[in-house]
Amino acid sequence: MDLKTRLKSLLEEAEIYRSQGLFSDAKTKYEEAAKLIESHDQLKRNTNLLNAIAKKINLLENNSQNVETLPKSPEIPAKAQDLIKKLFSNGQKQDAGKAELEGAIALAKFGQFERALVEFNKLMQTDDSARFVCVKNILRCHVELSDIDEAIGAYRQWLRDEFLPPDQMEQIRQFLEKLLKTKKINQILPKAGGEPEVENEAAGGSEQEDVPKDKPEEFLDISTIVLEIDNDETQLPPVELDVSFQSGNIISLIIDKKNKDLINALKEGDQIDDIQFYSSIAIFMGSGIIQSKTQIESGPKRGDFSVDIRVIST
Amino acid sequence: MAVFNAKKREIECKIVFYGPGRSGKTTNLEYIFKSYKKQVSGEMVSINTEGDRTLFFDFLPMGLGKIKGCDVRVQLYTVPGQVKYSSTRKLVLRGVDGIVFVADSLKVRREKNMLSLKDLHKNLKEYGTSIFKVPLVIQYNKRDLPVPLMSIEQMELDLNRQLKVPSHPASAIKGDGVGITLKECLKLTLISLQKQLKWTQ
Repeated sequence: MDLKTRLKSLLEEAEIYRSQGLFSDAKTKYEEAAKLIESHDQLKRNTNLLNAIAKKINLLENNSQNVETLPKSPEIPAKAQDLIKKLFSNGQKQDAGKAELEGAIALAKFGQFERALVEFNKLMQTDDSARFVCVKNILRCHVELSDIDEAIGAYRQWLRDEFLPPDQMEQIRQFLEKLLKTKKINQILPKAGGEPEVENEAAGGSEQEDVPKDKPEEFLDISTIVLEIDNDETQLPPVELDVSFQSGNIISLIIDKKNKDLINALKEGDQIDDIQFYSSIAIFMGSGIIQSKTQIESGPKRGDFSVDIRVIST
Repeated sequence: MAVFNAKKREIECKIVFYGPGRSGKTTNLEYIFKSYKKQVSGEMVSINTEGDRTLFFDFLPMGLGKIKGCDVRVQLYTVPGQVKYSSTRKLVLRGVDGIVFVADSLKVRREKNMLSLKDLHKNLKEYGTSIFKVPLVIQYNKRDLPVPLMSIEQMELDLNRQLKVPSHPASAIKGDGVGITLKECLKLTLISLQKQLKWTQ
C-alpha cells in the first residue's frame, strides 16, 4: 500500500470510528495518521493536514471526556420514572401495596432518589407493614443525595415518635451509622431508650461501631476502584482500575502488564488502606487485602495480571 | 421470569438485548419498532439517552398474538453497554427469559465483546441462572462497515465456542439480520417457557 493510500485509509477508518461513537479508537487512528505524516518528509510539510488532525484529536478527547463524565443516574422525567416503577415491580403478580413498594425500591435503585423519597414517605403513612423497609430506604436516599442532616433529623424524629418497635429502631440506628460511615462521617446516634449522642465527623474509631450481627453483610456492586500506593517502599500516584468481576466482598481487577510498578507494589497478603470504591449508588472509602495476584497466560489479556482484593472494611 | 396467567391464557416474557457499548442494541430495537408495526404494541421508550448513548434502558412492547392458545406478549429491553453502568445492566437483566447478545464486528472491539459476554455470564450467575441454560442468540453486528472486521469464524471462536448458540451476522442500521435474530431468540424463549410453565393448548 503506498503512503497516500495508507494515510487515506487511516483517516477514513478514524472517521468511521468517530461516527460510531468509538472516540478512543478514532483517536488512536488519527494519532497513527499523524505519526505516519511526521515520519515522511514529503508529507511533513503539509502542516494544514497535521493541524486538522490535531483538531480532530482534540475534539475526540473532549467527546471522550464528556462521555466519561456523564452522570451515572441523572434525574429523569416523571413519565420515565413511572415506567421504571411499573416495569420493575411485579405489580401484576401480587398485591398492589407490595408492587408500590417494589416500584419505589426500583426508583431508588435507578438513582431516582428524590422521587423514591416521595414514594416511600407516602407508602409509610398508608402501609404499616412497609414502615421498616421504607424507613431504611428513606435514609439511604437522603444519604445518597448527601442530605445527611435530613437523614439524621428523620431518624431522631422517628425515635421520638416511637415510629417503630425498639428492636427495629435499633437495626435502623446501626444501618444509618453504617451508611454515614460510607460518607466518612462517624456519628454515634441515640438508641431507643435514650443514650448520649457523640458527633465526630473525622474518620476514626468508635467504641460503638455496631454492625448488625444477625445479618450477612451486604456488598454493593463495585464498578471501579481508585488506589494509591504510599508506603515506605513505594509511592505511586492514584490509579483508577475497573472491577472485572466481583463475588461478595472479593473484587477482581486486571492490571496491564505495562503497569510494572503497580504490579510489583501489590503483594499477596498486603493490606491497602484508603481505597476509593465506586458503585452506581455510592462512592466510599475502605481497605482491602490482596488475596491473589496471577499472570494471565492466554487470551487477549495474556501477560496482564489478575489481582483479587478482599474488601475488609468500608 | 415470565408472567403466566393461566386463567386468561396470557403470557408475558422479557427479552434483553445485551452487549458492549456502541454495538448497536438500540439500533436493533429501533429497526424492530419501525419494521414490525403489526406486532409492536406500544411506543418505544428510551429512558434517558445522552447523545446517543443509553444510560438506563430502551423498552419496546410487542404482541405476538395467540401461540398454542395463549396470548403472548413480549417486552424487549436494551441495557446500557458502558462498563460503568454495570448495576443498571444487572437490574434490567433481572427476570430475563431470553437474550440477544449484540456483538460488534469491528476488530478494535474484540476485547469489549468478550468482556461484555463475561459480564453477562457473571450477572446471570448472580441471579442463579446460567448462560448455558438461558435462551441466547448472538448477533454479529456492523458487518456493513468498511473498516477492519473480524471474520465470523473468529467471532464464533471468541464468543460462541463453548456456548454453541445460534448466531447471525447483521447490519442493524440497514435491518439486515435483525428480524432473524429476534425470531430465533423468541423461538428459543417460547420453547423454554413452554417447558418451564408446562403450557399447552
